[in-house]
Amino acid sequence: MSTSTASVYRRVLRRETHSPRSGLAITVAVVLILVAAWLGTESVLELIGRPALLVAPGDMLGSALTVSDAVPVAFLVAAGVVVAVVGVLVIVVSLKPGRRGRHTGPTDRTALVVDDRAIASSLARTAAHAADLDPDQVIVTIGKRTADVHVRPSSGLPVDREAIVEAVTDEVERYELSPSLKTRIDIDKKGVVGK
Amino acid sequence: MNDTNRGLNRTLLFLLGLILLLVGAAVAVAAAVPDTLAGWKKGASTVRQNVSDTVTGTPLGDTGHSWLLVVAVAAAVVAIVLLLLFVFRQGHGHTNRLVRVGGDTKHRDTPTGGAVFVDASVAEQSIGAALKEYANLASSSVTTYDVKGTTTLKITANTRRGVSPTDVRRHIDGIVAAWDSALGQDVPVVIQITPDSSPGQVGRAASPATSPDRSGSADLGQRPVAARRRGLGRGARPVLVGEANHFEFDRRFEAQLGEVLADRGRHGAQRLRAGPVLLEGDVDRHGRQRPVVPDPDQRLLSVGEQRDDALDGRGDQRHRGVDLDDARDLADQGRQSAGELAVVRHECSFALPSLWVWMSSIVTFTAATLSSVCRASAVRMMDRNSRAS
Repeated sequence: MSTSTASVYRRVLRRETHSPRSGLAITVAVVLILVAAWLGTESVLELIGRPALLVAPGDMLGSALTVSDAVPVAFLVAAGVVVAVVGVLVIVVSLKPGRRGRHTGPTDRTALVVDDRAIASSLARTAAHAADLDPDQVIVTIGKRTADVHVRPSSGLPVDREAIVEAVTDEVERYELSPSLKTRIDIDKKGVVGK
Repeated sequence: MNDTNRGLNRTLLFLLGLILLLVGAAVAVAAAVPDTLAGWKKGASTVRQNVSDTVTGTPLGDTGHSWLLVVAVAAAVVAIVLLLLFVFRQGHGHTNRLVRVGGDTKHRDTPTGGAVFVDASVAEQSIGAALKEYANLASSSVTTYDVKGTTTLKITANTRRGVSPTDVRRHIDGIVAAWDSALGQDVPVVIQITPDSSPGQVGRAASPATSPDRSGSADLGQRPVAARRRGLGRGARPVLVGEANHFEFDRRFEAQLGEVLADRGRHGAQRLRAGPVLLEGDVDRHGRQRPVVPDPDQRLLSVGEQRDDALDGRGDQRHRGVDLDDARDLADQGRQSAGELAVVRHECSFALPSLWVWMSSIVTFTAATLSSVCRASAVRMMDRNSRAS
């Protein structure tokens, strides 16, 4: 594999497993566009001597200055805190990596991205096979580094824990995912009515 | 896979967050601390005086307005244009060209600058048709992206419930290997495995599998296969497309190309049969030529290739399909024998028109606004003049 292909794969895998933050960025841009359009419109209306849509530009400045008289102090503090908290949240979103629920497989001739739901579905089937249960009795949750397998045995029929652990661990190893998954098997004490 | 500028997205969000944080904190602190609140109230009248001084100091003709309002309008328009550019910058990165051999106008690496393009749909249709045969997939799609100048195929495989991603990957790798040998060159391929979306999913990563499958057979689902496919199915005819803006073909070129394909069909690959060369339907199946008219739509050459099962993943992987260098040489010879074969680019630019429409409408809006402002002030001046006289 040439170096350029390797770098293409690195770039694509990184981008496929992390959020582009496009949704929030586009929302913010659209809101800003609307605000700019409104300010522009108010300015134009003022220029041609038409009544303002909502507030004339001069009144905007005036009310910003007198807001401390017009509004109770508690409201001002609360509003300021809310705005600041929203700002902090937006900053956090802009800095966090924003992982998507996906893992990457080993890169060979091709590169591989697997959705966590596909992994969960496959592991659920593996565990159900090993325990001889209906796949509906197995619930798998995939985290960044963990695969939680939750098994609800049929009442009166104990399940072979070792068999499940071995089957699921083998299957996860076969995937060679990155970041790698640690399996955790959890078997319900209470059984459900068997299917 | 697209070329969204993610850094820009995050920068915009960070700046907005910072502004909100600063403004919010300033308001909260100013209101909470009694001294600053008093200062705020006292400062208000000074600021108001300064503002009205500024407004009277920047008159716009004798309309009674400040030209700062015009500046505000211009700033709003600029902001809108920049933000629209930003929004339309999201996504993109699709390409419809898989491979180009020769024909670079800057660095002519062929005697006459002839070139051959392989259209992205060749790969998309061929691989898509092969994937369609694979029972473990509910649906699949193949798309082509330009990743930093490298054409890259993305294969999205929607698996049925409970199918192992490893099995799917191995199968697709087999198809890709067959495709590599057909194309004669390796294009990066990214495989994305997603579950077939169907009801009953718990959360975003939890999935109780359905339909017990203890016999070990591969096919799990009984639901009808989703129709998100682009392949043409068995017997699809991938088309190698070259394009020229100015050319006349002669029969010699067409015969040569046919021979090369036929030759490869005999010696290179058992499964790849050379089909007749089609010049926009102007040559019949037996190669008998009818008058070839240069096509005003700039489409030049389609090499039909009948490919029944070369790409089913089981094919002889040693064969090479169309040798692109040979095809390029043929394009050169065709040009030499016929005089003129210049290859035009076949670019996809689906987003630009809408962007230009947006920008031009903004410009028109601004111009109309400004002219109405001028007209209004002129009318007012005329009124005043007539009253004065």
